[in-house]
Amino acid sequence: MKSLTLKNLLGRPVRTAALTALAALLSFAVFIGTMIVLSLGNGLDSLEARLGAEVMTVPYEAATKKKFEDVILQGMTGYFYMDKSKLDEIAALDSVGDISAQLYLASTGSNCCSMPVQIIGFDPETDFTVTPWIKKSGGGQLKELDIVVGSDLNAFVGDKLSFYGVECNVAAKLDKTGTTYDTTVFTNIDTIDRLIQSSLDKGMNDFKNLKPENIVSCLLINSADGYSPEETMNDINLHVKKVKALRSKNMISGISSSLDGVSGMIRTLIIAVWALGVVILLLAFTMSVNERRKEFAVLRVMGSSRSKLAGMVFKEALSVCIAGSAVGCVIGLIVLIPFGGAIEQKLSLPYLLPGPAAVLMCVGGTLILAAASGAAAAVLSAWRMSRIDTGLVLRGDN
Amino acid sequence: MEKNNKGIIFGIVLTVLSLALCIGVKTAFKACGPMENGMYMNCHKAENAAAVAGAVLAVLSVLIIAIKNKGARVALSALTAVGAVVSAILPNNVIKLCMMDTMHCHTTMRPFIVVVSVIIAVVSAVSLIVNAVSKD
Repeated sequence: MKSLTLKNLLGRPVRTAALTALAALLSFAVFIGTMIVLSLGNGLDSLEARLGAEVMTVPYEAATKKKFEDVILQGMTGYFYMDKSKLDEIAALDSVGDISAQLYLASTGSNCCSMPVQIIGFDPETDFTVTPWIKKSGGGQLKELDIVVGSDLNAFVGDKLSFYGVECNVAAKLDKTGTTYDTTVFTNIDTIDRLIQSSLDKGMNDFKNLKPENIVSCLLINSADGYSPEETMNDINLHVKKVKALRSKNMISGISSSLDGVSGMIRTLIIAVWALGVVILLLAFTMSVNERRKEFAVLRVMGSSRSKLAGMVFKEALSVCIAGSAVGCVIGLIVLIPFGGAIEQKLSLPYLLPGPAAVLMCVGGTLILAAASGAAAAVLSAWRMSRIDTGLVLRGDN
Repeated sequence: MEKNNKGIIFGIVLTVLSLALCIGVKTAFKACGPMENGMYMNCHKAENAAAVAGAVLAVLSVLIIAIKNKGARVALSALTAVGAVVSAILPNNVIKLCMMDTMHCHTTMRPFIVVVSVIIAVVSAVSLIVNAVSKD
């Protein structure tokens, strides 16, 4: 009976190919949609983890501009500065626990291309956001003129990159995060001071009345024991002038809601495509069984039981759906993995593909769903077929 | 007759894929645009190289269709497979692309070249085997 199923499928190549293609299309839609939803969720988690501090404090004027969010969250290059004395003022507050300053600098294109990159300087003595991430990626202590590059920068450990005429050594390359940090360069405060000085010497930057050695861009803060992040934020906003404290979680709420919208739309599309596909499969199997009534009647006369024939129809449907689903998943992987960067850019949202285990689970889930849908669509056809009146069919025109 | 048809089908598939590679990298899947000063970045060289590779592979594929000799078809299929592998490793391995993986040459052109070249290599390998085992 097994070989008969295969012979039936191979004997009607056009019908088999059409049903396989339909199953492949459905599985492709489900697989790729699910993977995109998972990747967006992963990207948001990664962004939340990378912000790494409960409260972020920036100059007041910067916080009121749209560009601020673009710099922090969307990866646009830019900078804003405040006086370093704010660090001491804020550190003196009771509600402030860990505090570390970061300094932003946008490069003009580097060695190989015209695209500027964001350079972030951090203080290794106090930092609690970037250093653990560098350690996790296999990097160590940064020496002067050492830099750490994001995973999307085409530079590797041992390479030299030049910013404002200063040659820096790539000491580590960070793991992929699916966020804007993937195109950022990190370095310590001493190195960034050198870069700022070089940019001033070349007339490429203007700090107005601020002295480069006395500026910071933002302060990353964790609350002291006994204080909530909200209390710390309010404390800073109340007691320190010309700065704005923001909760990191609130900053990504805009991205989170866009992500919910996109994910919801994809889920609805998956359900719609799948429901339509199951209906088409049902119709296709029903038509196919109707077309083959005489064939089944002959098999019945030759001694095949009703249950055996029903099983044959069932096996045919399952084989077609599983084969189609496997093809759909392979095409999905070919689109998702190499073109992940293009998808990320089109969506303009944090996007991080899940690990191999999650991808395999998703492939397995899609195969099971396709098999179940094929089985559900074939049940009715198999039942109808098992009830045909052999004599009537063989005597009739059909 | 049937065996000849197989060779022709593989030749047609390879020609279509090679032309897709050649035309694709110059249209929808091209490299990054020029800089503000009008100069092109390094990835433009990779784009040109891939287009030439696609054109060469298309010529080889047309020869697979045109030539009836079994040995020649096997040799041409092998040459196409090797050419496709070379084409796949061209972007970033042989010719460096731009600095950021988020740039168009990395997100669109490179995956396109790699995917199409790998498919060409696989089809060429199958063509080689089919032609080698076929009885003239």
